[in-house]
Amino acid sequence: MASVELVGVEKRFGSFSALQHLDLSVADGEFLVLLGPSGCGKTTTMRMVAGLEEATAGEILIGGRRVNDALPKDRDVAMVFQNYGLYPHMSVAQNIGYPLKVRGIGGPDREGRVKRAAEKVELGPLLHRKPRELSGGQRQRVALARAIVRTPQVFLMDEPLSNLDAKLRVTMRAEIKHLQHELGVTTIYVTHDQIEAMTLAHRVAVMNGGVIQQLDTPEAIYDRPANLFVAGFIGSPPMNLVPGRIAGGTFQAPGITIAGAFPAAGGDVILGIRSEDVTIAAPGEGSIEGQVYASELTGEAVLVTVSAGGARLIARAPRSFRGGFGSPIALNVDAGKIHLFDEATGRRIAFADRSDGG
Amino acid sequence: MPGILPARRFEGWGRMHDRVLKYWLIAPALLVIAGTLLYPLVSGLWYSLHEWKLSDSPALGPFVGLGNYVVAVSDDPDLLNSGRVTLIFTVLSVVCTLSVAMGLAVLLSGNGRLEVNARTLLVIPFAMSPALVGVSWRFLLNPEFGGFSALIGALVPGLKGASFLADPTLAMAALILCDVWHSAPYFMLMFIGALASLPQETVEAAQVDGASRIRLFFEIVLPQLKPVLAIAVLLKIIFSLKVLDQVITLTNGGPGTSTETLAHFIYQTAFRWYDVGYAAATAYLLAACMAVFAAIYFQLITERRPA
Ligand SMILES: Nc1ncnc2c1ncn2[C@@H]1O[C@H](COP(=O)(O)OP(=O)(O)OP(=O)(O)O)[C@@H](O)[C@H]1O
Ligand SMILES: [Mg+2]
Repeated sequence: MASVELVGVEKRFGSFSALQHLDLSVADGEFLVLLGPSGCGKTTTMRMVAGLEEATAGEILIGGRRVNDALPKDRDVAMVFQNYGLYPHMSVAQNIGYPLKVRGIGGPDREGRVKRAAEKVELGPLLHRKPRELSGGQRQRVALARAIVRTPQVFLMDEPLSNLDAKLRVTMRAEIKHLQHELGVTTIYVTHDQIEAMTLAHRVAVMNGGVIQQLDTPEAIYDRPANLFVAGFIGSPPMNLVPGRIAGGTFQAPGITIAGAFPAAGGDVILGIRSEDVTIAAPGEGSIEGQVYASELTGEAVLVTVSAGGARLIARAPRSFRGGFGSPIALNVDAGKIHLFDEATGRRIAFADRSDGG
Repeated sequence: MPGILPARRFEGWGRMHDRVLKYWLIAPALLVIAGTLLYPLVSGLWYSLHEWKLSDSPALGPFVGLGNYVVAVSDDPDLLNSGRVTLIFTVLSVVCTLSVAMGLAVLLSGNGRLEVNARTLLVIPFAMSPALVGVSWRFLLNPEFGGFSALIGALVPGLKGASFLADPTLAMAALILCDVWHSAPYFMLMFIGALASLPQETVEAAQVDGASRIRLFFEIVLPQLKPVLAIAVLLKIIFSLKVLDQVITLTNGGPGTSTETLAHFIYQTAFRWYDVGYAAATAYLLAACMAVFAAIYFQLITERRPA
């Protein structure tokens, strides 16, 4: 097991800068999730740790050892590739067993380990197939099994569950979490799925445009997003963001007036509030007055989109909610759950009475 | 209706355009093929069934049926020797050429300046006429002033001043060397193309899985090149079986008949001994041999399954 550190790492492809000065430190045994929109540099980060891509600047350390110049095979990492990278000429069993084969592990030992790994990803009966005879999700599980067949210093998993159906994804998620706990292998995990990020991670690094926006526990990222990007990216539906002004202790935007313990010198801000912290009230009885723009049943709740002034807000209402398009509606917000962001910089504004200090 | 008439006429013309015109367009090409391929094939078959010694008479001799073929397969030690020479040459030249080509392809498949320039330089031997290649090597191997001969002499003291083309084994080695030099670049280009289309992620996965360079090549790269390799082997077999130009200009079949390949034997029979009927029959035997490999080759290139 080993820690992974990236110190001031940069990556440029020609004139395009994919990663700008990345500082990231993953503790020994930690499960770190990289979360971010497509093209933000997650795969590039992984590939640099694996040694498949050279860092343009900065240092990469695995277990305290500088590995910038070490070949991939000498880094002792196991990787699930985003596009699988299965060996087309080998059977499923041979694919899974290959990392063992190159380490001189053969015979019944290898066979047993391959079998166990295959069973973990529910591929037991397919061991003799060739990759081209498998479905996308089955191929992905072969790639996963090939990574977990041995105990490396570091697991690198690039969207390892992206192609699985919802049910299998939940099973596999638990399997990965359990395995990581059991083996205690330092893991860097890329996903687009926020639930996956929240449930698996010890810490989450939210990336955008080749920069880490926030690196913290899932709770902290959800409760205290460091900037507008994180606020808008984390959570489903995303946090409501309303531009407005703070004057005399109240937040004001067209059609919206919210009183609260706001900082005195407010100025132009963006107010953020999650849909579950917005409650629905009868018209005339809320701090926000508007009309129902749309309502969507998600299963356990109804997401109500309300247009108020120039803004649209989403509130999470109980399943019993009934309100036709355009019908008047009022909203109240839980003042303790309000987030404020500086309009110019997008940074979170700390304000006095919040216990989180954020 | 007047409006329809021109349209109909146009349609008719269009049909003619599609169905008939295309044959007119390829007719000249077909004629050329018939003249250069079909005519010699058929006339060759016809000659092979006759006795025709130009030294006796310019006219086609008596019809002998399969007589020439019977002699060829049952009672001609010279032909048998040529068959043996061709077999040795083919096996060794195929193995050596493809190994060298694969080695070069792996070394030069990058896109660095050095690789690109080296690649360009290496294509020159392939662009040369095989006859010219033979002449060049004849000079290079000359024990008195040949550059290559001097080099070999320096590297392998036992071969210092050896007269390559005077020793049966060395002459065969020289012939193979010259053939490898000439044809390896072609297969190198073929392999570089195949390497470039190899899925890069399989190579990367193997690197991360811990494979050494040797393992990577033999366990990941080579197996994926199998289809291309099979085609290369067949093509090279066909090329090697009919080798002639270099034999004429480098060794002329000698010393003795130690490098007399089948094609050279046929050539000698027809144009030195003027035994055209017999030469035609042996040419047909060689062609039949090559047709087998050609058939497998076409089977392979047309039936390649998508991986
Ligand atoms: N070899 C390359 N050459 C040039 N640009 C590249 C190369 N590889 C990646 N990039 C660019 O670097 C950026 C980051 O790519 P990366 O693959 O790391 O994204 P990602 O975060 O993994 O996205 P996704 O979620 O879609 O997989 C992208 O803008 C991409 O276009
Ligand atoms: Mg990616």
